[in-house]
Amino acid sequence: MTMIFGVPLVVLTGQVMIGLINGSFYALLSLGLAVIFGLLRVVNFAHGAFYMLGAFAAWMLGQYLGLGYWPSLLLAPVLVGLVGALVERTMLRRLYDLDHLYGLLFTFGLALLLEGAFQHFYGASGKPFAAPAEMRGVIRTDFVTVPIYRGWVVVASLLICFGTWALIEKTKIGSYLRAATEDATLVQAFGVNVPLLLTLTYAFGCALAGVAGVLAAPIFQVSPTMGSNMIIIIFAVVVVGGMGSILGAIATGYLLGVVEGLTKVFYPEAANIVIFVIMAIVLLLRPAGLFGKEN
Amino acid sequence: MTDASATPREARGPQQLKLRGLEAWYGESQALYGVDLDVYPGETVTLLGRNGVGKTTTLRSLMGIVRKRTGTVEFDQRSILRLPLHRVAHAGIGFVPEERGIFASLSVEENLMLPPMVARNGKEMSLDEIYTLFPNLLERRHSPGTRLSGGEQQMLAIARILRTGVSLILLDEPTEGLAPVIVNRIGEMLKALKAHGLSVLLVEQNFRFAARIADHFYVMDQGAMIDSFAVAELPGRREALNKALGV
Repeated sequence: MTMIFGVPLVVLTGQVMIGLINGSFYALLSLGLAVIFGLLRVVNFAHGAFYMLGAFAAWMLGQYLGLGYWPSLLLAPVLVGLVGALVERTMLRRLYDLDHLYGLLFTFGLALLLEGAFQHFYGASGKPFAAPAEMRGVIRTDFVTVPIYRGWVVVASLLICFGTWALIEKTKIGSYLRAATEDATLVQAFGVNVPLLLTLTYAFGCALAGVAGVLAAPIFQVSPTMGSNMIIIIFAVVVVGGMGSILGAIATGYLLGVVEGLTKVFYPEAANIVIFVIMAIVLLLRPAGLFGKEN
Repeated sequence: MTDASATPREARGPQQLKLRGLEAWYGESQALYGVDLDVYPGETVTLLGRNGVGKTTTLRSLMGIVRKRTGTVEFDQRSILRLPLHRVAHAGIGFVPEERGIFASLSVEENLMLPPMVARNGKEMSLDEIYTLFPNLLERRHSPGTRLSGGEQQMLAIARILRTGVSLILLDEPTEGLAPVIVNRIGEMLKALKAHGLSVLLVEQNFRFAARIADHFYVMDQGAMIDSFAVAELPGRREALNKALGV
């Protein structure tokens, strides 16, 4: 058997794979946070709750409407996006002119409210959610063994992250978003409906969390607290990548996922804290984050 | 053009832009104390005054960027005071801010294409026309907007507004910090706009530059209008003006 640093290759690649899967969720979630923070300057503490909402929406669509995984994968993020749009239009919008702290407090409160409500109505225990039938089973090669569904999660996350990057960097609406991130007032003075752009951006960021939630449902189970377990790590990822940096959020998401996976092989005791150790080091050496601009 | 500037302003038709008693506030502190100003169709109007007397604030208030204001702001005989900011451009007003407002995260071409079209009235310039007029922009269309020189950035800032088909352009100190050669080019450009039938409201410290292109002048001091005169009256006022402007 091939060994690397005294560890069997299959174990090593297996952990890299697990790291990539976790990293897929980190990337999707921190990407949404970065997009929202970039334009709205709101630290969206409700992001974990929208992730949970995505998973629950998929579960409910299956439970009450009998919809399968694939329709839910499309529909649930749309529903989460609509909830996000409603939240922005009716509440979050009123806080833009105040200190940023209010946006943070509001979204934190919203997260507690959503979690509490779901715990009240659905209980704290996880709901099982089956992977689609065609994705059960395992791909086995000499180097790595991967459950098909988990491989799909990595592929889907990469596609969505790349698609979002292209949307922001290569399209007209993306140029509005980039320009408004620099100077929203001027972009609005040019005749662009910036208030609508803010709503769409928040909704889109929430929908990204929703997609992550649906993708996660078959892996982690659907539970009201699944978001709050995730959000702390996501914030660490965003801080390491650099607040508001799109590519930074994506790259750091996968990178920290893999680092976390490898730490499990070489020093399992540190696996749960390695991301925070890295965050502390980055904050000391490069306060703006790996991909952030100093200013 | 000399003929046009010699005719009385009213002969141009009703005011395109009409400010009456415009007052504006930054938070609690008042910045404008009843500003009256007219721009007639096709006219180039220059707003003079020392630093900090409220010239930029006048532009930002009539545009709606400064929201806390009262008074009359009419464009084409329609009040635009209550319009949300993004609707003002669509009424036909283009804004070229001080510092030019070129976006670093956008390429030159993206900067150029950013402001939405507001009218197709024959006053708008096509991308081809702009690139013919400014070959530099074509050459560097894929580099970030802020990589351009100061003069090129100013050309870009004006060109992107010309593309939209507005009928009035607000220009805030377009010559600030630019070399004399570039200032001349911007002067040529403004004359071309005028020939095209566009109205221009220009805020300018460079009096000699303004004197070459303007039809009418306003002078501000401490948030209020203190003088207004046509270009023909300019020679007799040099001395008083120099005093008011502190030059």
